[in-house]
Amino acid sequence: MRALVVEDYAPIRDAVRDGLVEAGYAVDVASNGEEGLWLAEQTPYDVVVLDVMLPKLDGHEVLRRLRRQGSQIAVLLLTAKDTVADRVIGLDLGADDYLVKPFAFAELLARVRALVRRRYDAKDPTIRIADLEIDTAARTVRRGSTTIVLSAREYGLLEYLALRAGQLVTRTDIWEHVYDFHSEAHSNVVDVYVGYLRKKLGLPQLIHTRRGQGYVLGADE
Amino acid sequence: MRTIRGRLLIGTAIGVSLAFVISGVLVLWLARSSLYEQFDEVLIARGQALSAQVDEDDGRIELELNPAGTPGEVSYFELWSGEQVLLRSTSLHGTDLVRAPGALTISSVDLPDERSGRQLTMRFEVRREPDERPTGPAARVTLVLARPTDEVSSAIGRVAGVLIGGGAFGTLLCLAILAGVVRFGLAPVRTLAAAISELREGDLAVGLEAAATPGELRPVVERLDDLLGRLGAAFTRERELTAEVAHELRTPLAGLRATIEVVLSRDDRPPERYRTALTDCLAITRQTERMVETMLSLARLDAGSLPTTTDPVDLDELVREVLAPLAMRAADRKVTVMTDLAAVTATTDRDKLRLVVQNLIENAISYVDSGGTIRIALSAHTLRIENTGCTLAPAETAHVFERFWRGDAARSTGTHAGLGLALCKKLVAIIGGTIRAEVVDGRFIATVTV
Repeated sequence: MRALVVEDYAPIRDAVRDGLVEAGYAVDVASNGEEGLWLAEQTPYDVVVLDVMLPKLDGHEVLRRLRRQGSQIAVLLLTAKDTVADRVIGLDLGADDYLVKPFAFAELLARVRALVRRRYDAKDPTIRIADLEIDTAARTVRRGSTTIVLSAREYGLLEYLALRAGQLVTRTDIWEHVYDFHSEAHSNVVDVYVGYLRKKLGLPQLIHTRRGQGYVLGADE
Repeated sequence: MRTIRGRLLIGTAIGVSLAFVISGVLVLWLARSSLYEQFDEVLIARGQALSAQVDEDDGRIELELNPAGTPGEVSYFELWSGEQVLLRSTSLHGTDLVRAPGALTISSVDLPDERSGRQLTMRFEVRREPDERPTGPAARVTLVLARPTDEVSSAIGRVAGVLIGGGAFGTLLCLAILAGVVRFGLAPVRTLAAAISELREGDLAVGLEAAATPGELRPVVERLDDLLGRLGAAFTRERELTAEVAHELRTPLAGLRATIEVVLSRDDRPPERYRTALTDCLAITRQTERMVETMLSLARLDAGSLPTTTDPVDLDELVREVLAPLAMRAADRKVTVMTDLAAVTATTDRDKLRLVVQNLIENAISYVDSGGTIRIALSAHTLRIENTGCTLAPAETAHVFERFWRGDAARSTGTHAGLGLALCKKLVAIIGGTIRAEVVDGRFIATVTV
């Protein structure tokens, strides 16, 4: 899953980025509203964590412009102001959720996960495909009775494929949703990671290749 | 008496009773003298009637008087011819009355029966029969007539009683009426008190209704309204400031919490990672500390609890002192610091001015672009500190002295709370100087005049 963090205060921005990366997200950051808006316009992020008080363009304005352009991106507002009026303004501008500073990082993660589920129409935090079970809250993966240990990147890739199980997922989709701007763009980096993942998941094969198109995660061909 | 009502009542009671006493005494004196005048007139008439009953016939004095006097009336009289008593009234029982000098004298006396009375002493020539030839000088007779004044006294007593009673009643009546009038008159004060007690902290600015109060109270109500307006504005400012402070403190707290929680979410990190996190937290704590210190200084300045001193201060010396420890930070940022300091001495508050200079130079070092230039010039009580690399729009300089206002550049680093220049402005105002900020061609220029 790919997330954008727009926050001007460096300690929060860095901590949220690190935490999300560890949770398997591909994360881009912006330190002001203009940069944040530009990134959000270019990239199909699964979730945007958006601070309200920002230099250049404030968070409310960024949100207003995104929604005016018809963006369906999920937005979590971070605000240091917690009056009812502040929260109402944010939600009415089209925010999906908000969090008041200071916040518990676990709560931020849970809310981000909820926004991601909503984006892929999943209500159940546990995804089951055949004998594969992905607990998106605990970020644990089991196949049958075996626990499979994945790296953050591998987990991110599997979660994305699982949320779109049964659908054709192109390499571009994967590139856009599992990798951030700092990832090295090898021509076959996606294929390499899919290869790692296949090896760890074992047999029978769950990730099927559609030659020249992409991948499908599912029980059968 | 602490109440207006009490004062009015006591004052009126004293005034009214004094007026009643004075007029009562006057009335009593007038009544008394007219009663005595009347009594004396009757006494003289009686004396003349008695004297008419004394005749001279052939050199002898003939008396047609009845020594028993008029029946039903108490009176004492005695007649002398020279030293010889011609007649005594029977009521005297052989004693003598005292003769007063003069042809016709009236005086107050004690009567033989020990009552008070008035006495008439008359000396007259005895009337002769008109047909008689005078044989020598006419005989002279002295008549003393005394009557008791009981009736006059009791009449005066009655008048005094009426006056005292009437006066007391009048005084009480006045007080009762006045109590009512005062109560009625002070009703607007009670209404005002009720209106004041109904004021709530939240809507002080609503104020009182000046139009509905009587003229005497209107200045009070207007001053009160004025005061309430200012109080309300101060409360609003205070609330806004508190909200602002809370907001400003939340940001570093959120930074601390996020940093700590993320690094603690795993326990298999390399030690350097924990060290980095702790170093970041320390930096946040220091910034927050500085912010709190500055806020406290501002609060103390607001409260006016910092004493102001005045000493001769070498301004160039002061600038060098402040600059020395900061030079390293400037060097780190590859900043050129140029100084042009004339030797200037001013009489001012050294510590406060030092804080101002320190804040301005620190600001310059924070906001100057890497490799940029800071110029510090001092001449004739004017200190000018400028730095290159300013990203503020010229219009934004209007805000730089506001608390918690920060330019975009300052906000993204998070190292400044937006209080330094607010503090400078406050300090400069206290030491009686001026401070100005402007942006010219990407240079931020702060000018302080002492």
